Amino acid sequence: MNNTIVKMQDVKKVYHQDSVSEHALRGLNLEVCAGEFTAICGPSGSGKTTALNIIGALDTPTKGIIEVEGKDLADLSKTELARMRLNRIGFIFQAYNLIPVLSAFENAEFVLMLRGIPVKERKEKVRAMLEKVGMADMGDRRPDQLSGGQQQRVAIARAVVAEPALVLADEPTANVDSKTADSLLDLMERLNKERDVTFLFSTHDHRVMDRAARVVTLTDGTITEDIRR
Amino acid sequence: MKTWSMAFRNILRAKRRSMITILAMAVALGIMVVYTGLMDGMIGDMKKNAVMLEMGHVQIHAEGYRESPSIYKRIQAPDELVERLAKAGYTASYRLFASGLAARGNSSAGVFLRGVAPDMEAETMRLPHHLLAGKWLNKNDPKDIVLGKRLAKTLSASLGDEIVIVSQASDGSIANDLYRVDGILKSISEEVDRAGLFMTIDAFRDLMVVTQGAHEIVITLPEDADLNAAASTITNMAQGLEVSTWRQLNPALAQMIDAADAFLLPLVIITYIAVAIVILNAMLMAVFERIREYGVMKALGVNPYEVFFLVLTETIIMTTAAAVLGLGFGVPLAFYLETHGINLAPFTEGTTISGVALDLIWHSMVSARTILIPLVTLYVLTVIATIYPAAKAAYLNPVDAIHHH
Amino acid sequence: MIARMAWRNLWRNRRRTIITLVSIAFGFLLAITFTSLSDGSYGQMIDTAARMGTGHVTIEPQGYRDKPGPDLVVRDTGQLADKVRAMPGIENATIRIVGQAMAATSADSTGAGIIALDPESEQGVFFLLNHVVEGQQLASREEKKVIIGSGMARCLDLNLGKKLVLTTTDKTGEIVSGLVRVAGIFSTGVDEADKYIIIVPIDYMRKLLGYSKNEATQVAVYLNDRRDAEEKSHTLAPLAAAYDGTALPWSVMMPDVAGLILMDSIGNYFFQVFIFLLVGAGILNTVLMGVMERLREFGIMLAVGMSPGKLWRMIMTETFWLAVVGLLVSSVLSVPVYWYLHKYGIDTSAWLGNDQVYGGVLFDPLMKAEFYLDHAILIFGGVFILILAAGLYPAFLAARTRPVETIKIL
Repeated sequence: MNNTIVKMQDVKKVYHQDSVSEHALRGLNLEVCAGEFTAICGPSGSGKTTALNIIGALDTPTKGIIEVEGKDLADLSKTELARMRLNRIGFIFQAYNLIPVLSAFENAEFVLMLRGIPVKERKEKVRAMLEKVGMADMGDRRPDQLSGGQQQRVAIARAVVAEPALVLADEPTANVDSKTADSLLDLMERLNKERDVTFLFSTHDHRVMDRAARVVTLTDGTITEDIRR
Repeated sequence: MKTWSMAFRNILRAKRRSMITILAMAVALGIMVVYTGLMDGMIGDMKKNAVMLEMGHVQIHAEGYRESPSIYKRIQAPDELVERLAKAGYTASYRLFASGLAARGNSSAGVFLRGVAPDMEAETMRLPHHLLAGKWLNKNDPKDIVLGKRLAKTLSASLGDEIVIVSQASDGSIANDLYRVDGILKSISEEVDRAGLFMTIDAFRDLMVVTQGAHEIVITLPEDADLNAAASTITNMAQGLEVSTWRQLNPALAQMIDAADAFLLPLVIITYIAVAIVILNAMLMAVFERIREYGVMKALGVNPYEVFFLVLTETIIMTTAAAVLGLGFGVPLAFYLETHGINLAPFTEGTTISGVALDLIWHSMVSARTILIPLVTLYVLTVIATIYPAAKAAYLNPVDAIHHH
Repeated sequence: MIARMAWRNLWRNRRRTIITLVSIAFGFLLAITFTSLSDGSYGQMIDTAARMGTGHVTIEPQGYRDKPGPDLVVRDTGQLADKVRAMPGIENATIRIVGQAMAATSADSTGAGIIALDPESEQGVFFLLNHVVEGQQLASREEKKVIIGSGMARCLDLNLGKKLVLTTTDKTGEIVSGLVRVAGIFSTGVDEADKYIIIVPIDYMRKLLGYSKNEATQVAVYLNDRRDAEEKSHTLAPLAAAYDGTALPWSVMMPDVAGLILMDSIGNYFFQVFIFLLVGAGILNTVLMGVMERLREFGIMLAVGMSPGKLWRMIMTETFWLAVVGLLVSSVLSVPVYWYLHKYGIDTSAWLGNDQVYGGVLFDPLMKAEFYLDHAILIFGGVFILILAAGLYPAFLAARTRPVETIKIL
């Protein structure tokens, strides 16, 4: 395997709540390379969202090492972590991804705006991206005027237009019907191949698992299966 | 009761907002309580000062004296009248008045001479106890005089100084004599401060050649006596003489005291409008947060009145919590200010309102209304503010509400 | 774009924002009303007091405050008054002799305060001369005629043309008397004036007291702007000193009025601050709720890479917009309110009557508003800072959001 984007070494995560400890991850060892289209799956409570949060620098492991693009996240300060999320990682969530007061175009523009990319350049990029995701003529609409599927397309556009090294998608198809799920997955597959963006899903949707090139199964906080196709 | 426990839980669910709302109400209430106490105290003190220092509750004059005062218009046999009044339970004192010129060194001032019986005056009025320096008159020292605060300053007189008094005696001759300053008064009233010069009755009679009679009899009543009833009783006893109450003597002061509430109420209401806006907003937010819940309740058969009262109960619980907090800090503070007061001396040398001096220490006066007025007004306004949100919750369409985003 | 987002966020919940704007306008209008009415009232009281007595600034002999007496004088007052009038900001300066005397008729006597002046130059300046209700004004500076108050006329049973004797001590301390006639009677409704003050021609008084032609007890200085009194008293001090005088502002000359105004102002100030705090609590609630509702949104924004600092700034920008709109709406609303209060005022005579005397000055029950720029700026700034301050805690909470926790909220 060339370029390792994500490397988790014996990652453990424990939650404490009212003197009850919950072991979400019990020693996870995982390596993801550039360009992968991988799904982490498992039943609810298996720890997949936790794993994604840790990879996305949103959460820290209780024990173990997490490296993204070769950097140990434990060495980075909060500001540096935020910058990493801004520049190197894209996020797609299950629902309510978009900021309600911004139009679809402005939502897709959001990350580029945070990065400080000049207006003309980012408007061009976003226009092109929205075309790619099939939302070119709905740029002015607000999220409450878009269907669930359309919102997810915009979310995908936002995540990818910033040219991150890694896109983390947490149950992106959970709230949409089959046809929409299919077209979303088509889109993401295409982006994965054309732009060489690594996609890491957390899902229990079979449609996603069927499309993924690699399926990692988590049960009770550890990897029980790791199948490549 | 179910409504109460639901209301309680609702309040606890939005802890921060409830706390801010309750705190705002509590602070408003506490301050209103203290303020009411201070206002009542100021007005009460003003009335007390006006009446007890110098004016008395009721005054008796010879007929026509008030209209145009003259040294010749006197009450005959004042001692006897005072005795009769005393038997009827009224404390009284009589006084003699004249004008003159007082001089010390190069300074002179027009003065209002007041001849009083030292003991009788001390029993009836508070003025003799309101001394800035020195002591009050003594029957056995007729050459001793007591000056008003400003008069002493105008004459640059201090204790022990000699003052010349020049006047026109009642028999037309020039009255001229030397006296010694024995005491200087605190601020009493505009007139006394500026021109008041007190001497014993004997000294006055000597100087002004007024061998009998008095110009004014002043009567003080016990604290809660009925002014008008006393006035009519006294009028019966003082046939042929003019009897006036302090209200007739200083109508401006009476009007101001009566109007005191007119000052207080607008301020209380304005404060509570500000509070009402806070409540309105808070309850609106609360209702909209739980709009689906209310929809479900109504769909399950809870009738609108109950929903209305549920929202109202929330407000009442919060107001009560605020009442406990607010009264908890406001009432002790008001009581503290009753005994200790606010010291105004660093800010002002004193001032007069309607001619009556304001105390330099501002005391509050705590009574039932100190608590009741702010408290009742608070409840009234918060309940009014809740009507709109409660009505909204009660009358919304359940289906719409449940599907509310 | 953050500014744009903040603006749009402000209007997400229109009803809530409007209620908040109403409460801001309420606080603002209250402050404007109270402040401008009080300013108007105080100004009127000060002007009345100045015109009834000793001007906005008074030049009197050195040492007179501590030991008032006819032996202390300001010299060459004619020249001094001319010089004062030539200075900027001065409306007028008049020369007076003041003192105490006994006024007596054959029947009775009473103490009196003498104000001796130049009738010609004081027409329209001296308050009491505007309130002469019977008889005429004084004609010359040395005639043996006086104007007395209606209270004194009653007490001494005096009418126009009747005689009275003024007795006082002169410059050397000797007791002197003069016989005068009543030329006119004034009435103000204030007992302290009506029963007590006698207006005398100044040169006659000079003769009676043994003063030389230009000596006097005080020069009453009237200013264009009464608020300059303190400052002008310092400016005039060296000039006054050259003539054996000191310059004192009205607050020193009339401590009762000053004391009353101070007490009232402090009370007013506390009350307004208190109302502001209540309004602030309401705003805090509103902004706080607006933040708590959006925690998931904030989580997502932070997750995709927005820094907490930027998020903090966004909330504060929302608060900033609230302040701007709030102040705009309040200012627009306050214009008609102020105009009405300025033109028509509030008539308190219904419950206070027409005879209230505060600190020795007759209080005009018709309270009219007066606008002072520095007070307006204070209120503006105060409201602005209040609103921004109300945003601090919610902004802090927003920035502290942990995406992991809030994104899960459905």
